[in-house]
Amino acid sequence: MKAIRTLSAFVLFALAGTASATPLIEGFDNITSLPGAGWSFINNSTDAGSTWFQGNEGIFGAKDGAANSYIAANLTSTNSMLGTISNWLLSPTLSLRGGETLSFLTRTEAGSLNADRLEIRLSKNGNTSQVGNATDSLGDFSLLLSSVNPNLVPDGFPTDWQMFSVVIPDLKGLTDARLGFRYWVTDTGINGSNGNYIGLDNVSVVPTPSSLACLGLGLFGLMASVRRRT
Amino acid sequence: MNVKQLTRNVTLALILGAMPLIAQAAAEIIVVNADEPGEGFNDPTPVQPIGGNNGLTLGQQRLNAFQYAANIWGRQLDSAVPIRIKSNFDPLACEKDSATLGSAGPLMVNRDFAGAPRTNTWYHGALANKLLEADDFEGEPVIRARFNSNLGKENCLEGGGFYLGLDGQHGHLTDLVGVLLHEFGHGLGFSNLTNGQTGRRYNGIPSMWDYHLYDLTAQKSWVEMTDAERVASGVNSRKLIWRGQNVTQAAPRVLQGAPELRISGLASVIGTYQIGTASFGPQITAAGTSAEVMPVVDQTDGRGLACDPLTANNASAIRGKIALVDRGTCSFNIKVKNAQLAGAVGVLVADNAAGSPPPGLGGSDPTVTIPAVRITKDDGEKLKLALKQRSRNRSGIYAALGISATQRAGSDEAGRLLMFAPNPYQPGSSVSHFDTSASPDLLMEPFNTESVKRNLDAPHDLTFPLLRDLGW
Ligand SMILES: [Zn+2]
Repeated sequence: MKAIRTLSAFVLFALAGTASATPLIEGFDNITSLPGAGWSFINNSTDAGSTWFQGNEGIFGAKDGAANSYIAANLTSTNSMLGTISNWLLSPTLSLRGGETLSFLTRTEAGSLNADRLEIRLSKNGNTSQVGNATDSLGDFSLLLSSVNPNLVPDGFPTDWQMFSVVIPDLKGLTDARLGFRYWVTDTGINGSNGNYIGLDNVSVVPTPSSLACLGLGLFGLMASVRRRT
Repeated sequence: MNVKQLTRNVTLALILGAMPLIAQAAAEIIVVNADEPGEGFNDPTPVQPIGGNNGLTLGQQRLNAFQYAANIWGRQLDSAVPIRIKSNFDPLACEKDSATLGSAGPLMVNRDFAGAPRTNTWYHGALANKLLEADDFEGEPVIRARFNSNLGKENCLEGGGFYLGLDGQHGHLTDLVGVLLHEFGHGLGFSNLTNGQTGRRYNGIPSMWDYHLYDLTAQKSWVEMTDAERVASGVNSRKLIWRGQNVTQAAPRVLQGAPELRISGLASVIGTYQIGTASFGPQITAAGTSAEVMPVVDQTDGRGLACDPLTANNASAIRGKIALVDRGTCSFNIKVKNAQLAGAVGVLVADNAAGSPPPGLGGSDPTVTIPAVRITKDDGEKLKLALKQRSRNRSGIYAALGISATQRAGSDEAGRLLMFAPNPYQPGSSVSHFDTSASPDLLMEPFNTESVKRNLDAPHDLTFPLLRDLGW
């Protein structure tokens, strides 16, 4: 098991049992375990090819842990010579209130000029995997939380692991929700201009620091002692 | 056929002592002419002398070639009993571009004769007589051999008939002396007596062959196997070996280092792959070619035929890499040339028909400067699956084409000769030949090669060492 060494992870450890929201920490050590843990793979690309797959350490290594311990999607998501990729990775169902922080790391290959794009979307519709079945359909995942390189700029995707954080909007009470990671690239395939290879790692959903305030300074003392022990 | 009839049919006998032999060993080989009047050895068609063969009829030249080949074998062997080979020319299997040149096998086998090294074990008749030092078959032929009477005619390897000269200068024709040497080898002992397709042994009794034939997967010799295990072993391409000591000891003096393809990187594809080498482009050398593997994809079904100049995206993907392309539509050298023009440093051609081992890549183009090899359809599909985890210009999968430090061409890592065990089974060829990966080519490979051997022993060939393993 790969430890996720972010502040959020330690916060979550400290909070175990006290928060009502479902925590999520996924380091993609072995993606064959994902379906059993509630994750879903749906490829709506033109002439759909590969779904998300275990990271290929020969392209680049994971941020930490085993070199292949991340999840990846690439141009082979479509078997078409020229088409559109819409390749979904759906998280397990989470109980969220809003205000939680979603964090993830992503990157593409250094020197790549074939633009990649990653969208992170949210469904508030319970245990749904409804993303439609067209390259441009969104189904229940119409709420866009974040987009990495939204305009498909050739050098617009980070070429080293970069952390992105986004606060989940208010959901008016505890709501069953799913996150959708969508590798979405137009004008791609062997003959297309866009689409190369991206990695996704260290996905976590934790309460925001603001909700920790009520727990007082003692929490930070505990964190420090945890750090010293490791 | 009784003995008197046989005697009348003997038209050719090698008279020992007719020429001075620097000999230790020698055996008399008698060819028993089984052709009807006017055909085969008796064909009266007038011909010109050629390549040291002074016969003036087609039949006589055929007989002369026989005697010449028989002399070569006779000098190699040591037997007090004359070896009779019943021979004739017959129409054998033919196609426009390929044909059976000849076939031969033992007519007689023997077991539990006085002095047999192993009890309850079949020996080819000629070998049994040698070991017994007497003729247990009362003058009957012990070997049967047939040669293709239609070779070179229309729809039978057209234009590629037998060369009847004795000097080996056969050009584009097929050297009859070489074919004779090969077929005599089968009759003398170089043949499996167990049915490789059913696994059944002749009369339920093993032959000496089965003691030396060993399967690296089953880790058993053929004597130790069930019928079903022998069937599986007969198609266990490049995992079926000869364990006889004479062959193993002589092999390093005969065989060159084996060209090999090693794949590294993604765990799912790591290993050494079976390859067929190309008749064009550079030889694979010890220095070798190593690079990342990238596929060419120029077909909507995901294949890459590389029959046309590559697109910018495909060219960018394989520049400086070893390109994976698919067999089909155009000739191999065109594919390799297109990959070369796009900047590839080597080419793997994935077969489009199932079967192993992969044949070589035929064709010629003197402007090809990068090495190319063929891999099996199965291996190609395995690689392509792993290559789906690539980026535009990287795959994390590496290929090294080089000469094995540990293995010689045609033997396993322990130096034991690989036997021909293609999948699917080839009746008449499988299990009774050395594997086609041997380099330089050996006399007892299943396909006739350019360099026909006239020398049956190391350092030139391994046919006689194998016969010695059997008891010769
Ligand atoms: Zn043969």
